[in-house]
Amino acid sequence: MLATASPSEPCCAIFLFVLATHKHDLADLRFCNLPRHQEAKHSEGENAKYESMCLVGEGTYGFVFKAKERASQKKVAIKKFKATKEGEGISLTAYREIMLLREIDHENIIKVRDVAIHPEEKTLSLIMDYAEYDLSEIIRYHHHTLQTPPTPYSIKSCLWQVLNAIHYLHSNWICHRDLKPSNILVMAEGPEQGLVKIADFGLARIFQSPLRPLCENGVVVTIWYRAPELLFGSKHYTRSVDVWAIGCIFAELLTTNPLFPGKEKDTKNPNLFQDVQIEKLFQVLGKPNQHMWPDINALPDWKTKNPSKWKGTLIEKKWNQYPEAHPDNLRKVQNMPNDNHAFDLLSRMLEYDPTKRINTADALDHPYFKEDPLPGANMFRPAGSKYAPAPYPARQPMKAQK
Amino acid sequence: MAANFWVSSHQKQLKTKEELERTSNLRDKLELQLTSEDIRRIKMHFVTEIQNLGKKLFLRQRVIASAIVYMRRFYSKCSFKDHSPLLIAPTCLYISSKVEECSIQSPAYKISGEMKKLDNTWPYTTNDVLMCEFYILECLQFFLIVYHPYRSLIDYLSDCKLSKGPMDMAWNLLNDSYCTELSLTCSPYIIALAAIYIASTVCEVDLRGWFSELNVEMREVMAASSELLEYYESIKRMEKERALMTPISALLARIPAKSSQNTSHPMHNNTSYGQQRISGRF
Ligand SMILES: Nc1ncnc2c1ncn2[C@@H]1O[C@H](COP(=O)(O)OP(=O)(O)OP(=O)(O)O)[C@@H](O)[C@H]1O
Ligand SMILES: [Mg+2]
Repeated sequence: MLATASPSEPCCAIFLFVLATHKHDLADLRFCNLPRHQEAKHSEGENAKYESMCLVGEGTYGFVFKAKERASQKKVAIKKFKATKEGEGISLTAYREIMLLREIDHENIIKVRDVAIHPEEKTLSLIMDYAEYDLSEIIRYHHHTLQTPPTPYSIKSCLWQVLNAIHYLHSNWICHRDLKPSNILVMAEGPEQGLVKIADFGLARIFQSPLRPLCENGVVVTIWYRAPELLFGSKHYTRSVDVWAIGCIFAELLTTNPLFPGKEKDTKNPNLFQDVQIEKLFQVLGKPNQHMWPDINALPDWKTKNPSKWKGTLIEKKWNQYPEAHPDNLRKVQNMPNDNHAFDLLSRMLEYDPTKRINTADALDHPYFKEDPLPGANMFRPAGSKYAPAPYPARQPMKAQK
Repeated sequence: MAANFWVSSHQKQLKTKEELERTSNLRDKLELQLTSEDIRRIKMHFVTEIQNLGKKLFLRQRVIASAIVYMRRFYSKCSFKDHSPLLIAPTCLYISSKVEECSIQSPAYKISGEMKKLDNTWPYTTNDVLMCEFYILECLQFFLIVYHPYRSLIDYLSDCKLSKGPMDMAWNLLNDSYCTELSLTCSPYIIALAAIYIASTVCEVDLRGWFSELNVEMREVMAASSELLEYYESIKRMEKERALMTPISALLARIPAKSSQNTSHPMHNNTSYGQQRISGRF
């Protein structure tokens, strides 16, 4: 996807195609400016406010377009939520995302500038700052093209900023719940170059709120980054599920390979889908036990799936092949660097027992961040070095999938 | 922010009583000849409607309370004349049930269905509710997280150790605070303290020492208390003068209710709706 750089290539054709086939009629958008705390003037003719350029992302819940604000020529991203079933109105995902992003103000979290409503289609769009990269593309580029991981400085700066954002959320009782490389954006140009921005608050939740299962309308979200307690059936989302995901992302930055690449999607057989993911954890970290994780027996899917009862599944067959859980197992992961502080922090984030898992405050305070190279605000290069273009090719327009 | 009231949109949107009086229901006063008192009564009527509807749908008190706050915020910027509360009130409940993620299946159908049951002349459809959802969200500028005084009241009550009598009274006072505009002018913890203040004074429990150790602006607590008391006064007055007063039904009749049959969009009678509001407020 990131094969060649093609800056400012006009991609209207694709956009028109999307327009025609998916009815993303941006012409009848009605925009409401969302100034943060000050009064802002309203620009005449909202329709003419943004010039759409191309589709850059299609997620579970929406389409993301690259566009330009005509007045300022500033690039923006427009996330248009998919419409819900007849009679459902605006989706709960859209509600969650917008109501949280409206309250949040943090440099490592994507800002919503505007909201456009489409009453006839019963959906809405968020207009956000445009981020040229996301971590999944950066990692892919390192893996396939450069064939080396990002520099230790880049990895540390990136991780630090992710933790900084999630620490802010956690101190405000918000759990992100869907951290993965494609939801971690990075700015390419201008004063914010190299700044990490967390996006996609479609599953984010204030802790006290009641919980919903993670499959809504039959779509299952990626589970590669899902914490073991959730895989074993815990219904409680605590902050530690985000820390687990950050650990997985940290490992992926270090090695350029996903740490627990289970099955990508399987809506037909959710049990197998889940078992394959559990087995990845067992292969890499070893199998957990009650000694290291006292509460494990209280988890519904651990009880029913504990080795004797795991009858007939692939996990039962291979039970004896999995190593016992031990921190050193993680060292054997392919390309895992031999950096003690980095490794120590990583293994604390990937602690099986969520109550023992490191929290964001302690993670930010870890010696890893205090030794050279120190983390910086531009993950591409340290403070003081000369401004240079970002070292990655720009996003390619996406073809709309069926 | 979500857990910190002090940096929340809720805190930033608080207005003074005077500001609120100046911006609320402007056209209604001029064009429908409604007095501030009339407007207050109409709002109270719809607070009750929201509560009844919420109970019919088995919604939690929090959900009902948020809906009331949304409705009051809406009319601090817009008027009955342009947007009939007959549609706005139930739609606010629809929105708050989504914000709080109540697991009602197809809430819009349920809401319009219940409305029809409560009032068979209710002139709207499910689709009107779904359309109205957008316009309320827009008017609220998508600020949807609301802080309620319940949590503070629980915390304060467990600290000041009131006995059951005054404690129950404080809870009732707190619930009645939604019949006033306090949620738009006051921090929730002040409302909770006002409820305790009144309850302790009425029941003759001396909490002066406790209050003085709290380190809060007592002036604000007093102001909130007197607004709550004013509400009870107005109820008493209304009861006494019932015969002389315009009945609520006559007041409601002055508000143009839009028939959803004639207009494709109940909110769109005023065609410049969106523009006018966007340029006016944002
Ligand atoms: N502000 C932005 N700037 C540039 N690209 C963006 C921006 N926001 C999102 N994207 C791109 O669009 C993709 C999908 O966005 P997002 O994750 O918000 O949608 P989603 O439907 O919730 O996705 P999913 O459920 O698959 O994670 C992102 O992975 C990213 O590549
Ligand atoms: Mg995403």
